[in-house]
Amino acid sequence: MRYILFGADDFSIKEEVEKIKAGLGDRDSLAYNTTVFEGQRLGLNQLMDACMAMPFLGSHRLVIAEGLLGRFKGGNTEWVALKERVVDMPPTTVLILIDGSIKRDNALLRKLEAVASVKEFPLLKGTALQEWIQRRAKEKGGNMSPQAVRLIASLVGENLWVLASEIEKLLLYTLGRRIDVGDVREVVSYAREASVFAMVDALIEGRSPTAASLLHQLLQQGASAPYLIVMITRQLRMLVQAKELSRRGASMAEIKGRLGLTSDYVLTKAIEQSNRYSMKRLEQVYHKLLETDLSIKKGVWKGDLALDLLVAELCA
Amino acid sequence: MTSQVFYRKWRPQTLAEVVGQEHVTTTLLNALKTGRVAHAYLFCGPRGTGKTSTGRILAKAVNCLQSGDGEPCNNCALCQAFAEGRAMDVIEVDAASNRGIDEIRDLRERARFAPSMARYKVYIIDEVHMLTEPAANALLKTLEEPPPHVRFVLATTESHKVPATILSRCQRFDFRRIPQDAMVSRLERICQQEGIRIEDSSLKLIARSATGSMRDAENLLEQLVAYYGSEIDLHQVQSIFGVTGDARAQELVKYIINKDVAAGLQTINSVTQDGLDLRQFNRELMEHLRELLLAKAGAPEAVELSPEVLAEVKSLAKSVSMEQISKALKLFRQVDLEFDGFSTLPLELALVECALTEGEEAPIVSEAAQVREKPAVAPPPVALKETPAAPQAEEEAKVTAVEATEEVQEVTLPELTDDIEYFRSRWKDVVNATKGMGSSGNLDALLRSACEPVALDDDTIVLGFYFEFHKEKIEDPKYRHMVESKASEIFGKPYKIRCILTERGKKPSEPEKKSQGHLVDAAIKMGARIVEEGDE
Repeated sequence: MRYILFGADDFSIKEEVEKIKAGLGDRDSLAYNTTVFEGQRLGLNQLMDACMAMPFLGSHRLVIAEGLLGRFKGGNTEWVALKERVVDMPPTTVLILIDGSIKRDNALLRKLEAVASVKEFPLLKGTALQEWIQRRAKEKGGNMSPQAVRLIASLVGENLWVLASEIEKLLLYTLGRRIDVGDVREVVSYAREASVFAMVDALIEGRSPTAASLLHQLLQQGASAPYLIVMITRQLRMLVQAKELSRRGASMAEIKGRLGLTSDYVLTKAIEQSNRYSMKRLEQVYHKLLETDLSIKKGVWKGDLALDLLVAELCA
Repeated sequence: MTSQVFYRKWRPQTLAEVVGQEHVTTTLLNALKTGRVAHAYLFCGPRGTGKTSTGRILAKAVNCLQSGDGEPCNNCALCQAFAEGRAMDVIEVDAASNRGIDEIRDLRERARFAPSMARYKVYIIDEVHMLTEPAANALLKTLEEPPPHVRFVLATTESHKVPATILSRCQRFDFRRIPQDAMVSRLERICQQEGIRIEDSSLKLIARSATGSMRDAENLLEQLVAYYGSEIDLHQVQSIFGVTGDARAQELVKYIINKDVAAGLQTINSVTQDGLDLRQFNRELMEHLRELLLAKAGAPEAVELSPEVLAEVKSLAKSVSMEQISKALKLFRQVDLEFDGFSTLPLELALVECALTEGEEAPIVSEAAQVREKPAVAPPPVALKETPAAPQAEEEAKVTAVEATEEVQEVTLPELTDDIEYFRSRWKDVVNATKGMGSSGNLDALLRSACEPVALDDDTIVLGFYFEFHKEKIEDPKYRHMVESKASEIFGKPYKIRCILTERGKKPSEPEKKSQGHLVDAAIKMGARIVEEGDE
């Protein structure tokens, strides 16, 4: 059998490989018969030697080549023969070509399409991502409320590695109980970023009770004062950038790219907040932040107290 | 006889003993019970919150021979071996000193070998954020697909420095600062076992000083025991932490809020007479002001006060504005007792300044003028109250009573600033101060030749320009701010600039002043006013 698995979602590719492995009989004997190649320096003969060999004390031989398609250039004569040669592979050999984001019109991919099972794994977004979360929780024997699904999707973003790990944590924390929003907030590591957003929101809007309690929650959760200053500054910078890019008519995707964001939550929050506040207010908060940062670094104030004063002065 | 320090002796041995991290211990315990232990964990959080301890307990629990409910039994041969530090299958690596790729390659090689006695080899890699980039990448591959007999526990105090790729391959747990209550009950248990007699309030004080770190709290307790023995009273704890525990700091806050200067001065004097350390007293005063600030901001729970104190602070917060509290905090922060811990003057000054409001400044200046005639008159702080800018207050805090009278002469200067003649006479100082400013560093040359102050309109200096081109240039906010800031610096209070066109030497909208004679002119320049004009 021949498989081509490619796309940015390397977590799903790994899962797919595991699924294929599971169908190839005894794991221990398969381990002896597995060869993994790094595609960048792989030669055709080297690959074919591994593919043509018969399995040793096992039913199958598994050959995996990573990153081969991505390096393929149309004029590379050596690899033109690959299509013909893989057809002659013994039936006991399973060849899997794994790649990241490559174009559909990749020359080697188009050549091999006819003789291999091709699967693309793009990054999951929006509803597809939420469905994946719900499915994953169910597969692992849990149950998540739709609000919790939405929250975790917005907090973590499209990184399925992190999502899978956070879902596993949630399932273990609740152990059979339905997972709700409170559990997500309590356990998911990335919830802290959301609190920083909420705190900045409260700060700019001058809602002192919310800003002060969120600040102390974050400090209690282990965030240090310099870290919080960096996070608040980062967010303010994002707001200013998002405001400017929106003004110039940039699309959501463009803003996301320019700000180097991975999480949709951060992006939508940044755009929402940037629309809500005037540049003058943002500038004012910026100056205050600089003052606070300097006062901590010069030893004028201790970190926690400096942040308390920042909240007090911005909300006064 | 060998003795162990408290934080090692009383290191938690089961997950239930790890305090203040229920979200972590519950999850781990359930993972152990159900056999769903992840192959790699990342423990993040501040120091002394239980990261390494939890890693060690986890190492014991996955290998325990008798474990039924997920917790290690601490009795079996393996648990004993782990506890005594002779288990070969728990490998603790300090990533701060083994941070290179060679060390990680070595670790990868060794990880391939099966454990010698236990079920799993557990690698505890502390301070993982210290790994170099190539080392982190080398570790990544192993973390992604570790051998089935290996478990990794990575610990770090700075999770943001850990590469995102490592973060995403581990099950991450964030450890939190330990709440005071949890810390106090843990300390109580240690005291019971160690036969230490100590009051609850002392333990609270220890917990408060430890700022969320159990290890710090245990170390502090041990220091107390080493110093005072097994019977410790509150005064001893207070003295070792340098806390006065004096209620007068709280009292003074009330006087500051109520602007009761007389009572406040009395309190400060009584504190000095009792020989209390003024630096410590000031620190406590600031702590109380902070409590008030938080109560006002709506987050009093952040400082964990007793219900009675909390109610008092809340009611006090109602009668004060946020600006007033932050002003007081800033003023008392600037109190410098570093070189003279016995002089009450800086504290008194700060108190008096706190009591001042904007409107009160003018009459106090006139008092200051009176003081000039009698340099030895007390109290000197009143003479200095006029200063509007905070940094100046700091300088003033350092001066002695004699020096204070010299300051008085300076503080009277702003009175003159209402007079345009005074501005004109000092305008060259402003011009000189702008030397090197502007895009080509010649702003001073432009100001010197292109304009002159022609009038004063409240806090706005009207500059008359001879040419439109120069006027437009200075009207540019960039340059205007430069001139405004320098003018404010020189004249001691904030001034704005307005630009108009004028003829050289002419002062518009102002009647021509005739000279009163050089003596009278000089007197006016020095601050004199004409009260009555007699016939000549």
